[in-house]
Amino acid sequence: MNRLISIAVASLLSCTMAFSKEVKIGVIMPMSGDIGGFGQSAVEGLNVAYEMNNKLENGDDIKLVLVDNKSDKIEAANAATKLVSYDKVSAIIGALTSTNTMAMTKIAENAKVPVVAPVATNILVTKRKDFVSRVCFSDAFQGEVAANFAMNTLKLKKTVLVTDVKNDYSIGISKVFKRAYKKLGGTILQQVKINQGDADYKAMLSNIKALNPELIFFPIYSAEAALIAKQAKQLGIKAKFMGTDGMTADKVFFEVGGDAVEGFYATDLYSPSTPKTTELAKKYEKAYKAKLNKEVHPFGVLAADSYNVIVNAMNQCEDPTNTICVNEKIRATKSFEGASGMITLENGDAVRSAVINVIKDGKKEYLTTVNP
Amino acid sequence: MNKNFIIYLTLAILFVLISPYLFDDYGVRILNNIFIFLILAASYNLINGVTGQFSLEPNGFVAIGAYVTALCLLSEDLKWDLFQLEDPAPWVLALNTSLVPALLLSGVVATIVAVFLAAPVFRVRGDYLAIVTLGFGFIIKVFAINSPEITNGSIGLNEIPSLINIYWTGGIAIITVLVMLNIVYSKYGRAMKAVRDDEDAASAIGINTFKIKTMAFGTSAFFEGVGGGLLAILLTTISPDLFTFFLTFQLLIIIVLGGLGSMTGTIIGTVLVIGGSEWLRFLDGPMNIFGIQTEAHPGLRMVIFSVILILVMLFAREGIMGKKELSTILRKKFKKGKDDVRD
Amino acid sequence: MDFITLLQQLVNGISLGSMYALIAIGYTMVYGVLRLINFAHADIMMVGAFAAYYAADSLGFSLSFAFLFAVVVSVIVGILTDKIAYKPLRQAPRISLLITAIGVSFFLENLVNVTFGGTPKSFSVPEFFEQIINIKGAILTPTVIIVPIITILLLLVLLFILFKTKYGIAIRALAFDVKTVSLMGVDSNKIIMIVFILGSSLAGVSGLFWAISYPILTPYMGVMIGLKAFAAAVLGGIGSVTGAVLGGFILGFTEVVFVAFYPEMGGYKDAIAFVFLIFVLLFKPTGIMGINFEKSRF
Repeated sequence: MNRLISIAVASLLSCTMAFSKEVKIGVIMPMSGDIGGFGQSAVEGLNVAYEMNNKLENGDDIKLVLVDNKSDKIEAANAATKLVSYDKVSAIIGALTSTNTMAMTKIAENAKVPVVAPVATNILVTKRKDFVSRVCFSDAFQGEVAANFAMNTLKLKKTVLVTDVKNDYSIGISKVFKRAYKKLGGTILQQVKINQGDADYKAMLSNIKALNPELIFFPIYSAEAALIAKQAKQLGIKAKFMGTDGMTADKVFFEVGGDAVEGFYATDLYSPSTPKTTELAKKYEKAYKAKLNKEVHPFGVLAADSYNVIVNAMNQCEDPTNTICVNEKIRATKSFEGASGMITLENGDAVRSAVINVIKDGKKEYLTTVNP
Repeated sequence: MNKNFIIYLTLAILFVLISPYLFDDYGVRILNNIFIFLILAASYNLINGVTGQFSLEPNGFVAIGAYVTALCLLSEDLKWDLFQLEDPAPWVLALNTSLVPALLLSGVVATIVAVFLAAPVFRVRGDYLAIVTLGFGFIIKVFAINSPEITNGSIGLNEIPSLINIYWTGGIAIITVLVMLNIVYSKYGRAMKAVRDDEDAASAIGINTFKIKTMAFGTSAFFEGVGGGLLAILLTTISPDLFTFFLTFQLLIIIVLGGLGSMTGTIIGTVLVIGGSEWLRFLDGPMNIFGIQTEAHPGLRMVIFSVILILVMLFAREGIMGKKELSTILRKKFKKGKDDVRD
Repeated sequence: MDFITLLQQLVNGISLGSMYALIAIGYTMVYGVLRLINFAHADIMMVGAFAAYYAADSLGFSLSFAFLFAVVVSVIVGILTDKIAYKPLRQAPRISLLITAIGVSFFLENLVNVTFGGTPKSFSVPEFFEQIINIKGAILTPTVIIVPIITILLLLVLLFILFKTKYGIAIRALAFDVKTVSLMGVDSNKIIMIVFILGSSLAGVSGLFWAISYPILTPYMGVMIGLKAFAAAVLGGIGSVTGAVLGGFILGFTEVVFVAFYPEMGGYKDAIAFVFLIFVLLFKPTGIMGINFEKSRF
């Protein structure tokens, strides 16, 4: 009996499907492996956006094809090839880290399929490419914003810089910060190196305590930042702390950091309490909180916006599977009201404002906006 | 060279030649991967399966090969552009060759490192050897991360020109297998097997075990370096996180599955593992098991993978081919009664 | 470096070293008896930590219950691993056993990844462990005192078991030669199971303390810790529990001192364990303690 019903339903569905096309968007994310956690956060956010809108304006269904790249380049490249030639996707979202994303750009370029990277911030990702765009700002911008804020607004002249050598995002921002901060007249007392995944930072922090800096700038991810903050508080370090969007990304930072992270500054893409935000952002945040029961994760909302930008572009094309048209429209995105704020794309790079948040009562609180 | 062998060789060459027409882009990509891993696995089999030295070093040599090739192939302007952390060291800038010399240089540098390492490494045996080689592989990775003037740190090197295609990978794979077979069936190969089967006895009959082990190690390293170079070009971008223990682990699964010491086994193993891990992708998405729709559980593929490995170790330790080659089995089947001393 | 900072770094070294020591003991015990580098040991520790997290978070257990739960789960996983993966391979060549151990390690890591997800989990540390204690300017938390004490206590208990009880003699005999010992009427499988129970419970305990000291859990957290603890065990003399503890402390201290004096080279910190490992294996494979130290003392 069940079988008959399912056959009947299937044939009915396939009849209806024959009338509307299916447009596929490929998603390459690390769902297992070292950075699997980040990929999972991104995909969660993406799914919220998908549930909010999974049809094009012309009635075509959008299908997401998710491929796990296991935090690995070889897999990322294989995944891209599979999506492009086997699944015949019209656009790709991915792949999270800059280095993994760059593993698939060549394939996309050759196949003329647009790639929208949600979080890859290294400038090399979009440089000299015609089919690769991103919705986040680059390391260069964020590093400068941080340096300017530290020097000009907070007026902190002596900084210790903590870099995670295993993390290309951290390296990129550190480099820009160092240059910009020095140019503004600040002194970097020391540049300490850590490894992603480390747990014990007391040795390094005891050293820093002895140096007595005014500010500690650490463009690293949530887990390491939380542990550093906690251990720093235990050791009684009095300096101010400033991080970047990677730091406040995961709720683990707030949970583990607790009151050790009160008063921390962070540059970010957007802030939940910012006055000027888009309609879509408000709707998205509501849907996100309802489904996932936590604060919006930056990776999630950026993945969502990659999706939104692509859908927006597809809606402007006669044939949404015409990848060249889709790419053109993606690159021409101007003042698009995304879930994370206003997005304008120029040569594949996102031109958007950064905000500076301060942590108050375990939440990000908006401080000010910095325009490019 | 006997008749069967020439038949296999011709078939292999034909296959490589027509493969771009048989498969679509995705298939070709997988085939490229298979060929490169075949190069790596075949050479790994030499030190591990044939000579019996349980070493865990491939990821180190593959890394060396990949970086050398990448640095050779990137033009000077590109290097100024790519190196974000520190300015590239002057000798890095000066390094600039075309494809074949780059690959050869990769192999040579890897071999030199191997020979240097041989003296300390082969002082120990068994598990200790495994750990020491694991350690070296790891140290090479840490070095790659922390030497931005040479390797550009964690950002890695990208926009490596895509100079190869399936003919290169397939061709070099065939050459590697040929070389390996040649070594295995030569007097050196027999000496290596003697070392594997009983090192003290081998030493007693006059084999210079250290020299043999170093030879195997060095040759292994050479091809692993070349394979690394090819990998760099195939991916067009490399960074230290590519060369993890997992890479060595995959090679290990391949040669164990195929049968330690058997070249045919390695070929079969590579196809199964690399092809299989792509095929098993469906495990990561939503599945339909007997009509029950399950949710997507990304990462399930890796769980199944490790289970398969454990099962193989429990029930089929010798691997698919054991120590034999395909030719031996076929010969035994079709020509009964003939004595066969080779194994 | 001024005195206070020096004192602080000393404390840091003890704190880190004792964690390594605790984990190293488990490695060394299993290796001593089975000649197996149980790659999965650190993953059992990770499983223990996650079990405690699950117990405290989802099941709402109190800390003591979570502790018990963690140890029980670790022991179960340890026994199962031995029964399913290692026991059938007792007669097999060592390489098979090693590969299987690696397989089990991967399996546990990925199983936890699929079950709990890869996002870091925060472990809620009870207030007691968060207190700040100030000794002459050096700052520490209760764990810094508790873990070394427990480690040394456990060491003494283990030494007692190994040298003064019947089971202990059996374990040490097995470490010497498995086949002969079974001929003497000792049920080697039962003894091995006891070793795994001891080792896994140690892993579970270390998992819990790790979670308390560094309250962020990920499925792959065991990997680095495992390799370093193993290096510590080898440094101290693989097979000797005293050696494992000693090795752990030495490694912990060295890492702290290295970062203290060369913070800019912090990226190389992880390589220290391997450098130690390689040097020891090349020049004094029996480690600092050597195999015979314990015998001659007890």
